[in-house]
Amino acid sequence: MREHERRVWSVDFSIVDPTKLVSGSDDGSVKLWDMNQAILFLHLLYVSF
Amino acid sequence: MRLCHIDLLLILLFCFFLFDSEVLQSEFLNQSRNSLEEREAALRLREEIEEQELLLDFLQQLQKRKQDIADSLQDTVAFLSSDINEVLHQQSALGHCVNFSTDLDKEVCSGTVEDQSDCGSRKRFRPELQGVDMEENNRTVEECSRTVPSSELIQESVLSKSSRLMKNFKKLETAYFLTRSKLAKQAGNQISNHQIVKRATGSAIGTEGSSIDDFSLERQYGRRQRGWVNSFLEGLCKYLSFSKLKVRAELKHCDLLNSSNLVCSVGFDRDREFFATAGVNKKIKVFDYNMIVNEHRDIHYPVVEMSNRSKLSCICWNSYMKSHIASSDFEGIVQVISVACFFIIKFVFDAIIIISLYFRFGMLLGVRFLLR
Repeated sequence: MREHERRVWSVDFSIVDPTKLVSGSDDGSVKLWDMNQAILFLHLLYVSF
Repeated sequence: MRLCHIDLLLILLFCFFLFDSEVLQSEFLNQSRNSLEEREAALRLREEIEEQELLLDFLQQLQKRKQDIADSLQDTVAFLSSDINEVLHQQSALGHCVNFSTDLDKEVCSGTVEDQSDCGSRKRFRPELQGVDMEENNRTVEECSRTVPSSELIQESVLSKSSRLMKNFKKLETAYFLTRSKLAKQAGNQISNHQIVKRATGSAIGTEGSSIDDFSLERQYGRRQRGWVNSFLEGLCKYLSFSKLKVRAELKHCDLLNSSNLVCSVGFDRDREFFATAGVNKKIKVFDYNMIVNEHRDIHYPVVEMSNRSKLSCICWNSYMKSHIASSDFEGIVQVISVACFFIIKFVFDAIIIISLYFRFGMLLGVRFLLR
């Protein structure tokens, strides 16, 4: 499953909350993403390395 | 009998003619025709009046607009002249400190220096409130006497810079008015607040107090204006100090396997140590900034290179978590890539090992808002 139906033109992190991310696409939508869970998973990986 | 019949016919005919002529000349019909004409004339008149009104309305609107423009222009000219006065004042002060630095000191101490900071109106400051100004002036005196440039040098640099000023006159003008209007708004707010406070305290307080308030406010405003002129000058100097962009290093961003190497996005990381490039060649490459600027090589290798399934459109480094890059591609995938693991390995073994971790949002993330 893709995040957007069509080409994504732009992504940017939030300055205030760096776990938030926004993306804009040709499909006419702007999506706001929260990556807290991904960061937890990353920490686990760091420990294993 | 027959004659009688003809007579009757004649009479009838006569009567008919009589009636006909009467009908034609009847007052009733004539009246109605007149009224019709009058009505037409009235309609025409009304139309004309309406047209005239339209014209008048238009002209009045135009006049109002032009008057507004003229008023604002007048305001602009007024504050421009006040700023010019301010700059002239500062300039003359600097000239004093070059030529007669000791004279200026005396003048300041005697407390009769006139300030033109407030919209061109002259006012005298009391000697006891002069302390801060004196310090400032003394400081500028010291600075000037340390580095006094020759007048020829000044003129040369002014000439070369003023041509650049003229080239970008419009932009500088907008910048000037923008900062100026901000200042005016701030000052306006402060004055209105001050008035409210004064009204709240009432008239019980004597005239002495209120006059002191006014004085300090004016002084504050003047100081701020001077500060504003200085800050604009600072910006101007900053703008003029950079005249061109110079290429520090060139990065050959080509792959033998890929024909298209269009770079769509570049970005520096949080500490400005690394920068990443991404584009049509489906790769995110991370380069060491210092290495590229300081070591002049023909080919620069990236510290990290990560392949993507499709062409990349944009990348962005996380400003808080170092080594996190968000990327977007032509298929509609948004992902965050962590290059930290790679860096750890790289620094330990000092060899190029490529490990890339991809976290697709579809699997890992909870919140997903749609703004359609």
